[in-house]
Amino acid sequence: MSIKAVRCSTVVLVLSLLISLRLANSGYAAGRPRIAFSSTRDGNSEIYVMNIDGRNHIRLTINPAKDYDPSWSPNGDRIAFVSNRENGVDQIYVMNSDGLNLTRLTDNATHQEPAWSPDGEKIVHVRNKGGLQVWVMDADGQNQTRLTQIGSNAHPSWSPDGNQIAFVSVRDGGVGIYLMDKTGNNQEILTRPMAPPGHPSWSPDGKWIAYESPDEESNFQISVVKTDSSGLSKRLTHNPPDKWRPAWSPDIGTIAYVSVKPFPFQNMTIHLMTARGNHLNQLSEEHDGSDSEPDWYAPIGWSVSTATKLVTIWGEIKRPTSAPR
Amino acid sequence: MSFKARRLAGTVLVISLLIQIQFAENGYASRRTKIAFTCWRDGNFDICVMDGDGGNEVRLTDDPAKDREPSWSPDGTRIAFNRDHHIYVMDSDGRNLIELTGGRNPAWSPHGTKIAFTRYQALKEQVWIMDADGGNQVQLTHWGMNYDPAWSADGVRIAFVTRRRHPGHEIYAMDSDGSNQVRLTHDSEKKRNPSWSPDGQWIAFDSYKNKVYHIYVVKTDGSGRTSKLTRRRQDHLHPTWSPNGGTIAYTIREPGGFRTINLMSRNGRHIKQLTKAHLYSNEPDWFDPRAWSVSPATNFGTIWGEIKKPASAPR
Repeated sequence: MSIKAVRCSTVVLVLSLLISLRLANSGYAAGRPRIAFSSTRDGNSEIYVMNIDGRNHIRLTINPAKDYDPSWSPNGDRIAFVSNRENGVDQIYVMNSDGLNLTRLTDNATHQEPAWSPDGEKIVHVRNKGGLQVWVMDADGQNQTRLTQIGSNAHPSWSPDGNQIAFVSVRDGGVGIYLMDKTGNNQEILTRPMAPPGHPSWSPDGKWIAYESPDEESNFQISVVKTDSSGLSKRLTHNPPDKWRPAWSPDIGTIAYVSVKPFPFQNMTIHLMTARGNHLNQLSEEHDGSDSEPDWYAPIGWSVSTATKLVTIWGEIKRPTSAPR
Repeated sequence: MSFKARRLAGTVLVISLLIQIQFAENGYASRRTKIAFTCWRDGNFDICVMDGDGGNEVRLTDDPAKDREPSWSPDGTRIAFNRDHHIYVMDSDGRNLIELTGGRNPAWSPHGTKIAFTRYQALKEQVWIMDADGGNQVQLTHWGMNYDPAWSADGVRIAFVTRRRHPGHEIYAMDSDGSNQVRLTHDSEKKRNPSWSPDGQWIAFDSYKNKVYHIYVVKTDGSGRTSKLTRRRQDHLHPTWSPNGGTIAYTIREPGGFRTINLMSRNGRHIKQLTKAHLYSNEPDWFDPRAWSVSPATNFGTIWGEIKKPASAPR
């Protein structure tokens, strides 16, 4: 390679580095991992984001209605959530991760529990029209398709590869956590715990699902079950108070969950534990409201090489929405 | 009394009877014995009510939040419950939902004016009391962990569970201002869910011994006299004495199923399963309108009927 060619490629390299940094800055959440959640600290439920160390809480919605249950788009640009701001009926909305550019995706019946697919194309959710069923739609609200037909079905959660959806079903012939293909085919029960399960969340390697269920004394605890046919399950937490809404981090093997804040007054707060159930720390700040429904965005785990493999660029790169995971 | 006066009195009686019956129909739960309970029917935890024999189940809440631990107001028109560790009250048909405060274990007083509840504070859980509108919150217990408050039928005493390093889990009773705390049990085993018999003589509770939960009763006179009511080797939990004292509603953890509400006699004989085995029903709470009769203030004659109990009536 001639000196001229090296110099030229260096210029290209610097340029592309600048471009990618610029790109990263234009997306609010592109850089670092974050947790979206709902909080009632200002008197009614609003959507917030924070760093995964619990710092830098930023409110994204400001509305007298109830805004709750956020779900990140996989590239961190958008957040889907539930709001009853129009007519008091829960509907699914999306906004940029800085709170701008709000769009309503659903209409008519009650719609809850949005979960963005890992490829960014779809949002699975629950429609409540005389009963709960799992539906899926494009990320712009088009092509709403019903995935479950029999019984009552709720709490959908995507597998990390985007091929399967875990959900909770109450139907003749079996009550428990079910798995189905993303098209709704091959619905089969995975586990029937000793008490009603809720809010399944996949481990990043797809091998486990964390969920909540009440124990013998009616305190909610978090358990995990293997996603293979072994049915192996174990309880991660054991003592009061209640712990629920597990959310497995996409990369670092921790689980965010919601529990009672013991001090100074009773409220719900977001905590972190290891995948073995050891408590790490509380993420919620001191305030008079409750924090709930944590949902992760984690861009780390991604690096980029230039196509020519001249040199590896380490930086904060936006993940393309169509990237495999 | 002249014939005319007697006829007039009779007319007044019939009219007031009609008025009363109409009045009673305005209140959803006023006509039959009812049980409110925590139900899991569609994937979410909600509040349901059913008749005392298990019929006519109606779901009152429909929300992704976890609704549980219902407690009737004594007149049957309202229900307090725990939604995600916040105490709410609603009409007994599910309308007019209002959040009162943070806490759990709401227990409506027999006089209707107060709600006892528990709340975490400074790493401990304590029993509190407040007005039925959420005002005048007062902490009643201060040492150890204290939870599961349960009113005596006369509204004078509150039983609760205390968990301390020594002696462990015990049932206590106190006056509704927190004074005169008396320890009733002495074996330190895990206990929960005390419920007074309507005559005030006994408290039923569940306790974990030899790896199984059974239901016991203990005398409230401080003698410590205890007897075990359930025998079969499966978990029996959450006893709730019916207002007439003859039966106790409780839950069973079903093998291969979730949890059902059942009825037993006061000496432990199983009577009936009230809810389906493959679903989850828990935390029963009774309302019984038939424990009430009424006489008109003028004492013309006694009207027997199903009458809404005034919220401020003594019991």
